[in-house]
Amino acid sequence: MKKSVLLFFFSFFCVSAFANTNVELVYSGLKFKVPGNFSVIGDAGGNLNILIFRYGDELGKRFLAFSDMTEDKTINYGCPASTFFKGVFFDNDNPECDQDNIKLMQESFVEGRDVKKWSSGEYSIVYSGDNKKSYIFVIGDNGKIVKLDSDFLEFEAIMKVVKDI
Amino acid sequence: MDCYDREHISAAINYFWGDGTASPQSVNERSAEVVYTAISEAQSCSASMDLVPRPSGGKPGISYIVKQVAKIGKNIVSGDASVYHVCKVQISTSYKSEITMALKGI
Repeated sequence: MKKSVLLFFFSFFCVSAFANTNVELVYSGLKFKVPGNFSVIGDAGGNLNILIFRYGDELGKRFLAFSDMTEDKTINYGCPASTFFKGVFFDNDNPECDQDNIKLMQESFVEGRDVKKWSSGEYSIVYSGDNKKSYIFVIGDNGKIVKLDSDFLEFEAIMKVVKDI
Repeated sequence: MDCYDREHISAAINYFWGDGTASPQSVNERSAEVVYTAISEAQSCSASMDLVPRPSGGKPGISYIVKQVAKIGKNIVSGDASVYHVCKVQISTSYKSEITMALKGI
């Protein structure tokens, strides 16, 4: 009986210890700390190089995704994607960027959302969240832009993912 | 979901998230649901909600969603995409992860 109880507590400790461990991820040349208790990792490839971690068994739910948007051609930004998103979040005037699209993106990622901005070295980091989803944009002076999004990590949790950039 | 639905839904996905995102073979009900949700929730699409008419009361069924999204894809294929431009700008960045997960079975 004692052995069983000990075994139970040992197993519980191991599972808990693993669940609380963060995993270091190097993605697009940047270092992130990803919560370690994921159940699936998916590299979707494609031109945005999406890397997805899913936490749990339900398809499409409880995810953390990384996308390198540096070469994103999905919409007409009119300027490099990093310059465009600086315009969205920092009101940097750049006449090359499509101003109508900047306004539309501000409707999506600024208006009515909790927005926090800070910098780390050569990167400006922006958090944009509401009660449904959190986004982080890591925008470099060198033209790089990486987006993180999650449907379950709120500000404090997703901030830990990017704190060592 | 028949082959025409698949083709049109794939056209809608490729319009909103870029060419090569989906093929008719990769399309499934989950991906149609993501397109429908994305268009329904994008603020910029609210003025043109007749693009995605909703049945009164309750959540629409998947066969209804598939038909509606296929209709949007059909409009896009026939060259009538300008009405979706504002939606595209908001949807492209917001729902890229969700559409990718749906198409890849993640």
